[in-house]
Amino acid sequence: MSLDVRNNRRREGRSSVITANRLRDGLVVWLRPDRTWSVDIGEAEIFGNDRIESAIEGARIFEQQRIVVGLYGVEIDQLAGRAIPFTERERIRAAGPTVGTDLPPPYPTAELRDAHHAD
Amino acid sequence: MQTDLANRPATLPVGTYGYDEVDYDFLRDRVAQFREQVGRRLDGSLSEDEFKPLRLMNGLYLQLHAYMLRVAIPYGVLSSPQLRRLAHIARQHDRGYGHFTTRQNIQFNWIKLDETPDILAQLAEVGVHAIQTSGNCIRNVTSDEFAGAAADELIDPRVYAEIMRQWSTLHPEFSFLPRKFKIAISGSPHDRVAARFHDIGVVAKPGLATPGPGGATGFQIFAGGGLGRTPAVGVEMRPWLPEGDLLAYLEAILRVYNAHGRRDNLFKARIKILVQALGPDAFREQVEAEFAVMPRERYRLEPEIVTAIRARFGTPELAAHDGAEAALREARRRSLAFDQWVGTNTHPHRDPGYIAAVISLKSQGAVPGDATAEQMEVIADLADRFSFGEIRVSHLQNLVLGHVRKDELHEVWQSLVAIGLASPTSGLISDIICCPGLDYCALANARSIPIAQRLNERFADLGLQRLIGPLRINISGCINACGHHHAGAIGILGVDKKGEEFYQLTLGGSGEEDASIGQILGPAQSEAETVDAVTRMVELYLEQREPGERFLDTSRRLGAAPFKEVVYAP
Repeated sequence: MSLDVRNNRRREGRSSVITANRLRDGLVVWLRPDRTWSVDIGEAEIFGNDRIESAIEGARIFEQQRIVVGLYGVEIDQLAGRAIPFTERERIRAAGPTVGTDLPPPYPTAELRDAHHAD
Repeated sequence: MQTDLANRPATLPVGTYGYDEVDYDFLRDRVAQFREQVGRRLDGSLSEDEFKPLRLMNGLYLQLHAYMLRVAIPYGVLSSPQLRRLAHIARQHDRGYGHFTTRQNIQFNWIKLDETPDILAQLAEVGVHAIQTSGNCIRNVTSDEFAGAAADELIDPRVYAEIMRQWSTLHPEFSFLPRKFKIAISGSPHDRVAARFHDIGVVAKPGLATPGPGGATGFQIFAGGGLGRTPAVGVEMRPWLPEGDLLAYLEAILRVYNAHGRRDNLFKARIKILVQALGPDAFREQVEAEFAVMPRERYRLEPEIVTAIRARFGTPELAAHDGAEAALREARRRSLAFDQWVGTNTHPHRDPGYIAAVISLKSQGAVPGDATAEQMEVIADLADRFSFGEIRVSHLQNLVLGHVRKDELHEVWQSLVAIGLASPTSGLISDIICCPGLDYCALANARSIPIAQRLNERFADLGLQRLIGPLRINISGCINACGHHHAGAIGILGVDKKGEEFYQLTLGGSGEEDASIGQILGPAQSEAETVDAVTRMVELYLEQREPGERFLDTSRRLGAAPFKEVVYAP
């Protein structure tokens, strides 16, 4: 299955979130309701699939501003109000590798949050 | 191509090509160019579409979680300062480790774009770069991890690998091929480089008329091999090509491919598709026709050039004492664990007082091919103390110390035990080739590392592993086959079914001189089912094998049917 198909599921009645990689460090980020970017999918704004394409187009500005690269929408399920990507690929992309988890994160969490607010 | 003997470095590294100032200037210029390109990307002068091919030309991918930098390790040989520098990069710019790949390169998974020019500058200081580790060009030339050391070697292939590297680096005619292009070279009759699964496979040989040292060197040439979506065993182009014609003939093959390879379909763009479409005979005729009209004198690889390139390699001054063999024998007698490690993780050396040692990167619970910065530094120290400062990377994702004195091998082993890299399993069922898979790779359909770890746990018992004997399991997370699943006696391919991971099994592949493509056994299964199915395949082998048969031999004798039956047993 091609990446285009995998990354663009748009089933009726379901929801999606917007993701990208941050330009400078490449980390996976998710678009928040306040139009800043978070590394935590739990903070992502959830769009109905009937609105996701227009939301993606609206978020293209962040590519033009060189904040993120490779922006697209990810279809999700919701569990206790939290977005859970429908595909295994996006679940891993959201949570990080499932192996080598004893390795330290690239930045301390507080530093990450500060960086996001700076965005 | 640098052939100026007077300009060569005063101290030559063993096993790697000694750069001179011209080479270092070239790398510095290249880093400066990329630094400027990154600056233009960050200030908005370049769009991502414009920048992407530039970063890829410098080995920088955007993967699933972050940027990934692939660094070239020419023919899989590193000096100890180079390995220490890789450890430094891992610690300072990544998460403290690197991943050695099936193409003998190293990848860093958590690189930042704005730090990449500094990283490349630090690598350039020790003669390392990331040029042509991506893109539709000739990639890093791979070779035998025991080159220059193996007892069964006929010709040291590294000099020719270096010649091909210099010929192919920034070659203007071959920088925009229809697709990527991979060359491997071996100098041994036992194919440890999967020559028949490369776009071009080269086997260096001494001349039949004048065999032995000092005799003419020539090459057996294969072309059109490959794995991926359409696996193919390469066809023999020439059983014997004289040394002087090597570059001309390679150039003829690439010209035919460049002219006729498909650029309209990514999945049909590799040379193997062209060879199959034309047929081996017609393809060979086209290459020979091109070769016949080339100005051969211009392309001739003169013996003086070969000599000059060879002179830029340091050679180990082997000087084992007479008691080395007896000392090794005694150390083996005293320690069963050491004895078992020697039994699996060493390879005979051309000098009877020496031995080559395989450092397994496949320990229990490890990610196959990963090494931490600390482990890299210890190995660099071991290389300095015991192996002339030289380290090799194998396409099986292990490291090798090529020239260890037999009486010092026990000390090497003890040091490896201390850093958890003395797994006595080289060539056994847990020595699994495994691509990064969906844990890291943007192209992957399924994870491959966890299934390698589950199999490693299932067959953790060393006695069981030794009872099973040589068995190659290769795992790829997608059809691109970076984990060489087609060439595994048991191959595992990850597939995506409606967003979930499943695994397809293949049987009977080999990447060696008896190259064969594994046969698909049937529909894909879940990870747990796959681990159980592999277990039943091994049990069948143990029940059915005849004396001296490897798993691969038994599977070829029995055929796929009984294995298929146990794979899909209720």
